[in-house]
Amino acid sequence: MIDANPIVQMNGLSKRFGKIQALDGTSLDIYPGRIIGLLGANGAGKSTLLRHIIGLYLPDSGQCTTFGCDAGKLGPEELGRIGYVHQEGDLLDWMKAGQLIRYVSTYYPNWNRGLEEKYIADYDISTDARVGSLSPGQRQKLAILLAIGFEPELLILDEPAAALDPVMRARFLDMLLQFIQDENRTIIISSHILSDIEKVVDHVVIMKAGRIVLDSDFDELRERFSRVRVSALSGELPSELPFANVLDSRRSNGEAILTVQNCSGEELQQQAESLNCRIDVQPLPLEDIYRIVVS
Amino acid sequence: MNTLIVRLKASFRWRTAWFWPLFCFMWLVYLVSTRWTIGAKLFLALLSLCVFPIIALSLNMSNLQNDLFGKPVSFCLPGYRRNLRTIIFVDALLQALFVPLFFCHLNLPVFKESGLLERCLVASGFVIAMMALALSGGLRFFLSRIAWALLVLLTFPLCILGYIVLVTAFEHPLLLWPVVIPVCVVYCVFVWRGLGDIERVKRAHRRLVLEAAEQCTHAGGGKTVLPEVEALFLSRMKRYGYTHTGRYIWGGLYRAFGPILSYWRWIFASLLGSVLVLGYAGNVVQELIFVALGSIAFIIHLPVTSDMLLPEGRRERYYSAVASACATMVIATAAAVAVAGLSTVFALFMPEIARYGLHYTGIRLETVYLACLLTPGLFAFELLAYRMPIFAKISVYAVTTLLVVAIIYLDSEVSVLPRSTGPVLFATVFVCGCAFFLLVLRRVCSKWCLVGGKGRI
Repeated sequence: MIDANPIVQMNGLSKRFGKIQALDGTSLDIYPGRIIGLLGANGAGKSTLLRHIIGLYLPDSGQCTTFGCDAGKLGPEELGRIGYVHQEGDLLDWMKAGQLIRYVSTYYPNWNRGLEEKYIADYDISTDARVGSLSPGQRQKLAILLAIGFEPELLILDEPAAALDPVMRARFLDMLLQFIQDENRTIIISSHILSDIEKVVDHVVIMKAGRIVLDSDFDELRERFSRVRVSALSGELPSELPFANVLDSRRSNGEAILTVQNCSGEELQQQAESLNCRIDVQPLPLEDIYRIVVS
Repeated sequence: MNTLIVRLKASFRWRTAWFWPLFCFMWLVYLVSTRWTIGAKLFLALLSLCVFPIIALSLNMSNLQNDLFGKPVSFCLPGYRRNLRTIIFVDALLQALFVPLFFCHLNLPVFKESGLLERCLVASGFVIAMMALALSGGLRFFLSRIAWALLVLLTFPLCILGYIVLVTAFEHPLLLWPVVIPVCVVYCVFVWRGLGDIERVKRAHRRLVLEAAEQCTHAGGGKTVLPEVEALFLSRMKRYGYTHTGRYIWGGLYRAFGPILSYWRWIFASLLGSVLVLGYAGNVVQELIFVALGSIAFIIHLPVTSDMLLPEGRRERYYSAVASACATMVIATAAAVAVAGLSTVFALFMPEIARYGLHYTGIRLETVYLACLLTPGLFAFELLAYRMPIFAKISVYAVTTLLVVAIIYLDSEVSVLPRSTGPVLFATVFVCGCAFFLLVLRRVCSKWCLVGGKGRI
């Protein structure tokens, strides 16, 4: 149940770069207090979409408003509420990490020094190192600190954890979960590491060729797609399994593994009993859901 | 595609790589303007349009070969080790081909004749240039970064020394040439063989890789912003409210000038060096150098296109960019004033080298405004560059060429801007440049994508 106004509204957004249609009539509303996973193949338009939200890109047609303001006209007031991390984002390479933190913090009235110090200690950031000499992982950690240091209401993460090792990624995900504890905060995270995203998101948006092909709560999605393991209670499985809405079916060792959508557990159970079979229903991992949706 | 072609393609990626070709181009035009008659001038001015890209390419190659060679994996690329000397010599060849052209126009008695000896002397320009360029190419490869930087700083004094040696040699051609030419040829062969010695190349490669690795991994290594510079800009930023445009303007100035101000010692040394040399160079070179100062626009990155998200909107980026452009012009003019002022002081005690026609004269203070002549236009091209890089590059050269050629034809008194038409011409060029810059900036800040600064000039 949605009981708040959207903080980001996109309506019929289109953007073309030369011959490439990066966004094609995209519409999306983003509500506060959510962690939204933005998924899609390379070139699907994820980064373009995110950059429209912060006004770095302007649409050829359509409209994008962020915090009630046209994204192209966002000023310090609104941008001071948005944090943004891009995988290959610019940092000022000629500064030391500490100097860069001081510089960026000068722009924000609500910069949290305590959080900064804790983050530097936890993530082992060398403030004396020149930014240009940092490894990709260190750079990414620094970029994340700069984006969260002022505790933004909207945090946009474009491939934020790609350069982090598994331990750091796990810590980073924990940090996101802590960050979202404040119900006014919203996170949009775009990543190809779906197993990570799955742990934190509560809403999923999937893009393909500049269009949104799926926009759904993650819980609904997990209810919609299931994996059903069917085994015979006695004898062999029937050659035809009359389950409805089967997307994929495989058989091995006297078992059938079905991928189904829009089937409730009770329906499946009833059908299994009529076939004298036992079923085990599991929600589908996000990676499989993504594969089904984009194919 | 072989390694040689790959390196040639990579030559024009960096913005700063365009500064020296621009400088060379102006020098070329100066030579053309002072040594040829009006008809020949036009011919050479047109010829220079073809010559210039070749020289630019060649100069870029010299810088690039060392940088590429500093990559650890480069040694494993097919034919890379053996390509090194080819690169250096192709580079030298491209530049040396044009040196005899300039020998023709040296205003020395020996070239007034047109006998066999004179033709041989003109042709020898190629051999001498090959030697000088092979020397610089080889040294660029074998010297450390610091030693190379010092050598670059000594370029101007070395040029004067080279000129004196050359003139002396020309005065006694039959005595000195039988020595000079064989030495040059032997030296070229020596460099060629030296660069073909794989063990030696391997050692140099290892040193370059270690140097590059040390620079990359040494925590706190490399040049960072000075604490005083940081304190200056941050304190100025803090004077304004969080949503006040002033805070963003000072923040933008910090980003634009912070790294440059951190090199103030080098800048000061360069200014001092240029004062020593420019006094001997004559009016036109002095004024053209001031005009060329406008090209510092290439090394200032306006705070418009960046995806490091700060709370600056398009409006703040616009004002910040205008402030940075104005500051650039003020700094360029201040540098010109400093050079002109110091040259006036130096003129009191600098020696006159009458034998070689070198007289030290102070730079006229009224020419310092030339320093910001091209800056607004070049900033406009820089903004256009990230969307239309090829158009911007071509336009920069076309405009610069037309401007310099026009200046030469407007001038009959060996002055870039004659006193009668100078202020009008300057005002026209400057105002048009500013208007163009503001129009482009407005367009970029209101309509264009603000990410994509990687494809700069």
